[in-house]
Amino acid sequence: MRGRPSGLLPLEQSVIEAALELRSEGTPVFHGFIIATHMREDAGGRQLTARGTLYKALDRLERRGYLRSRWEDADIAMAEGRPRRRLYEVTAAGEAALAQSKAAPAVPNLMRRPAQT
Amino acid sequence: MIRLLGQTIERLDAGWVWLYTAGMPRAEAVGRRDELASDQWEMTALARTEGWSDLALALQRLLRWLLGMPADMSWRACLGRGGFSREGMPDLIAACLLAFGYLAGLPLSMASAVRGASFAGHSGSQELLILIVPVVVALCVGGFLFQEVRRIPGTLISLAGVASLAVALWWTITMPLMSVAAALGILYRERRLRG
Repeated sequence: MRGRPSGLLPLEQSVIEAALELRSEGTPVFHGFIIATHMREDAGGRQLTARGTLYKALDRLERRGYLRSRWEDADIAMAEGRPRRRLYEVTAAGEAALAQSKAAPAVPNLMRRPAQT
Repeated sequence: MIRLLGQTIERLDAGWVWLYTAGMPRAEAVGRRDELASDQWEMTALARTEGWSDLALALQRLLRWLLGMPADMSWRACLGRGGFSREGMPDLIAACLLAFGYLAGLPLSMASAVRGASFAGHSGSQELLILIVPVVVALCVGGFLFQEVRRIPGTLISLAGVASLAVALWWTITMPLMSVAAALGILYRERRLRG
């Protein structure tokens, strides 16, 4: 897959942050939609993250080794009468990438002209 | 009515997912479709828990779908060659035929109808029929596909649409016929894969 070799996009950073918050609340594994609701609450908004955007970010994070995923046991899903979930978990590399991303200074916008004095 | 709107959006959305995952290795395509089906279910469950109205749910679903479309397309594009497999080719061909039916067939039929060159001598009501029927047929075919091409009534509706179009204007039959053929191909393939 093509893409930026390193660094996290703002959405990817939000996903990992939300996942770590969930883990600290006792939910070490998560599915895509729960991340969307968590991010909505954090932002204090009403709109959930666009679906394609969210799952593209999850896929990208997994391909880069920042998340790992597995399918939920089909019996559990069947017992609860819902489709099976794809469950994600943040890896150590994901945590390190988040820490690095937070520590890195914001990239200046080189396209912006300096203010006229 | 609003509930019907919500169901229609849900099926259109499912159809979109099918389209942009067509041609992928089967396991990956099924995984993506299952994951997004789970997302849909979770959102409906959340809407019940939080007491959303049917309209709010339908709009939320529509917004999440439409706003995520560019990401869906770029996700697929980023897969590059890895996003294609021989086993997924029939689905991809079917998707191309359907896309052609919608994107090329409809405007062509309408443009011809508006120009009026090919049906001199038809009455105004017939011209209106010529304008409307291709749309109805395409929607029927689309509805058939969006139901995950499992239901026999969908086939019958599609065929009825094609028959009515054939009566109205025989030459525009090509577009819906291709779409129906594609949908039937998918039906056959799905059944064979499901054993």
